[in-house]
Amino acid sequence: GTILNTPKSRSLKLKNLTPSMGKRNSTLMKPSTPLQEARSRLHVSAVPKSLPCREEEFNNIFTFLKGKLEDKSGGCIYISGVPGTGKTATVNEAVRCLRKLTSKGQLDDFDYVAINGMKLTEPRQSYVQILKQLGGKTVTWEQAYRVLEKRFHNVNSKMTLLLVDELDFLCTKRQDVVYNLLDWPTKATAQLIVVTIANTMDLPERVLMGRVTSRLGLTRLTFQPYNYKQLQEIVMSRLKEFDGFRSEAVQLVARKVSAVSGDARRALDICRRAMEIAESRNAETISLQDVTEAVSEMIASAKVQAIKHCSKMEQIFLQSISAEVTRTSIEEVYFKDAYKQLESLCSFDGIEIPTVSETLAICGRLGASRLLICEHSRNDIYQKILLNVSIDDIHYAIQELDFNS
Amino acid sequence: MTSIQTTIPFNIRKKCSFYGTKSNVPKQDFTNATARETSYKYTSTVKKVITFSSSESESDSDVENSLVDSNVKICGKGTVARTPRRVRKSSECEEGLGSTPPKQKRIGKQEPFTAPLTPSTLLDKLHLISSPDKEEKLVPKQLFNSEKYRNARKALHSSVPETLPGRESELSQLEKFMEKHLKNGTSASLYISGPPGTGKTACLSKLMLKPEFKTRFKVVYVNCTTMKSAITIYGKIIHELGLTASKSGKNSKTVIEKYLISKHKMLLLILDELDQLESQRQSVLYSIFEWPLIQNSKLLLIGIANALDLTDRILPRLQAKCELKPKLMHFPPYTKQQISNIITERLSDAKVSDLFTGNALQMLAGKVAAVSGDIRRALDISRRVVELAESHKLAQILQPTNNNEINTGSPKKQQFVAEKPVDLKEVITVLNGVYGGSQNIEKEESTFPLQQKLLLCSLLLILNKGRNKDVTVGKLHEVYKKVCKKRNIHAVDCSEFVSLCSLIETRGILKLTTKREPRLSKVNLEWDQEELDAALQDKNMMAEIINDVSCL
Repeated sequence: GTILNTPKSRSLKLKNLTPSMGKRNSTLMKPSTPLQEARSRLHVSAVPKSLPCREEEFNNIFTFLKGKLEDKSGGCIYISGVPGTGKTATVNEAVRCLRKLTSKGQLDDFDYVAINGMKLTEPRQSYVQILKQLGGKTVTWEQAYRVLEKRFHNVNSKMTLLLVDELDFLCTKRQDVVYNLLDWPTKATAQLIVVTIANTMDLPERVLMGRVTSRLGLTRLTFQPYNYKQLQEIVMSRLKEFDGFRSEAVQLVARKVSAVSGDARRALDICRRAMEIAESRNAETISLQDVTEAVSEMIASAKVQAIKHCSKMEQIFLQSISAEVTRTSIEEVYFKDAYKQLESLCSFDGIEIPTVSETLAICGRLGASRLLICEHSRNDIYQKILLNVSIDDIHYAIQELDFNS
Repeated sequence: MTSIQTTIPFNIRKKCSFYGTKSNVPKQDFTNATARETSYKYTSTVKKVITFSSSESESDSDVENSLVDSNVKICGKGTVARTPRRVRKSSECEEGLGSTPPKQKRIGKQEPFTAPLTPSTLLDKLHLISSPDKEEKLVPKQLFNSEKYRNARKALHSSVPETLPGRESELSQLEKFMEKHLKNGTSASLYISGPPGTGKTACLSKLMLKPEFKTRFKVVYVNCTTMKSAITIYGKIIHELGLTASKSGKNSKTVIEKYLISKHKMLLLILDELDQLESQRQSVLYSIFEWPLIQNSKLLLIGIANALDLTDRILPRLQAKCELKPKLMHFPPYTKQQISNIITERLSDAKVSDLFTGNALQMLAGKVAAVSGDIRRALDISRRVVELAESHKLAQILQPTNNNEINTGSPKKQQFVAEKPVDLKEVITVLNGVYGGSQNIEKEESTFPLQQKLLLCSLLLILNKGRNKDVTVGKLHEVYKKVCKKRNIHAVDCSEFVSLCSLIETRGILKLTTKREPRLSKVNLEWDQEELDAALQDKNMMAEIINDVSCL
């Protein structure tokens, strides 16, 4: 009897519990040195109260949302930009400011729901998530959809602000979820504002259907990548009173990052890594050298190193492939042709020629480390091989080795 | 950024308060005028209270508000219904009362009057502190300026409106069709097509609300996007009809068919976004379109979709029988005249018809009609124009206050600014932003990272001078490395290069066709070279690289 009862009581219990994590036994270490403290402030998760260099975008979003909330009318806005340009942080800040206004009483209260396309196993789960954040019950998506439909078709006392992050992950072939999310705001009764965020600038035209694009509207905002001055300002604003970081060093990081992507996360990561390097030297300040080391660690390629550390026979095999590529001027090489080149190279150097099966094993190893792109090995000598590194890299790595020895 | 936001209201308040003391009477006029214009004016009073409280001190205002609250309760039920607006906003108590519709606009005005009547001395005190004359003055002024724009913004909403100018013929055609079949009691099917934003759903929902149809029809409206799969449509219809079906849903189709045979009111079945019901063999669509032919069924079936030839393309078998063939109806895109009519009508409904100049409206309507004829777009653009004008005006107002705090002449100036209608300039700004293509976004600020520029230049070099126009990422990387070497720039390695490509792809300049190996994926240029020229803004470097055949 008791055995049968247990599962029931357990499930009842689970319904009313909020998830919690196991707690730490010891207290967290406080940053002791100024260097450590500055490093913790440079962490990506430590979002500052106000975002530097995004004032204009913030104002745009804020005035749009405030206007809609005051008007009690629905609407959509589409925000795009490459990763790490502060899209989500800016929207969150705008919402925080709106919240502050409501707590002061200058604005009517509103519900805020945030979903992230990448956190959902399936696009339709977004209904479940939205309902959960609005009401707190977990139901199947069909039921959740029905409840939401009812909610947005009746007049509410409250406005609802819905943030959809990573919109492109909600786009399926039928696009029914995106359609519904964007169709609700067009209902006069819904009082729903949808803020959508994605990376692609032309996602509405490229992926979405005509009727979805039409509903998404033309209120769009693009976040441009940061330039080096802005990146510098971001890092400096986070460092605040810590003066161990030379401004030239910050500028170097900013310039390196802005030349490639303009991603603020990356600039912060490199700065933190430079601090770690400086700390390991027991230095108080971060020099240009530390930064260069960090940059080369994070940006530089490991392929030349990998070729350098290959075994002798693997290097000769790589050479033979590059020789075959230059001979035929076709990028794809048959294994048997490469083997022929290998034979001549080996006899040229006076090394014993490996057997075909040995060479196939070499080929497999190089393929596994992704220096080569190989076909399935069951094709044996008829498999096609592609170089995954440039021929120059091979020459550079191997010649340097010869020169050293 | 937060600091900026807070300073703006402060400036306005200060300014307003300065000119305030003299003109007690004009303030009354303003509020009355606005009150008549729109029903949603409640915010005025709220703002009044709030700005004031924030200016003095938070605690003070709280005390006042709570006092008001208690007084109101004492003074009588008649006033309670009105005051909650204020009470709720400032001191979030009495939520139940606060949830009354936000329409009580005049009440805010009355509140000061009711308050002095109450016997409590506390209240008198409150009155002295809370509503000095300048306070009252400031609010109407601020309101008057923004109210016009806000009314316009509200009037230009893109939800279903009450009237449908520009769709008179379609409406009457639909009405005639429905009337005819209603009178004869015969079944029929109709297929409505048209591009998005041409008012298909709006027309039908308007007809659905007509009392004569409402009573004589049993209306079932189903939006097919909400269906999980085509088959579930039966369950939905059964649910809407209030029938009972077995749980498995196996015989749901026969349940509906049985209902159709049985005696019933004329059934109007509207299927919106019909193309979502497409399935492998179109069995669902076929059986739905065959329902009108069932004997004794009184069913009027209306399908809505975007494609002009949906019924011919996916339902060719319907052609075999003339009775089965649905009547076709097309909603053409709105013309320039229709769009401008719609916007003028909406603006004049909100009594802000002087906000747009004729030229601006014609320009907007012409552009939208030329591109898509989608009314959602037209409304969206006009809304943006109003927003833009509003923000410009706000900036204009703010400037003088920053310079000199005391200037009695400024109110007049403000008035003048507020009166200024939306002109061609703003419309063109918005239209360029929308239709100028994505490339002119870059024109304003060159935030293109250097490595991405180099990548695009190398791609152009290959496309212009190379023999093989089939560019893979691997090949592009080779050329790019040579280009970088020549310019003494550190080149990124292959894995970084692939992510660079995808970053550019988000701008829509490139398109990568993904293969199993990133190195083998093909790179296609989506823009032409002139567009790219404008975007890159670095003519010298580009010219140098593009003509550098030695790098190939």
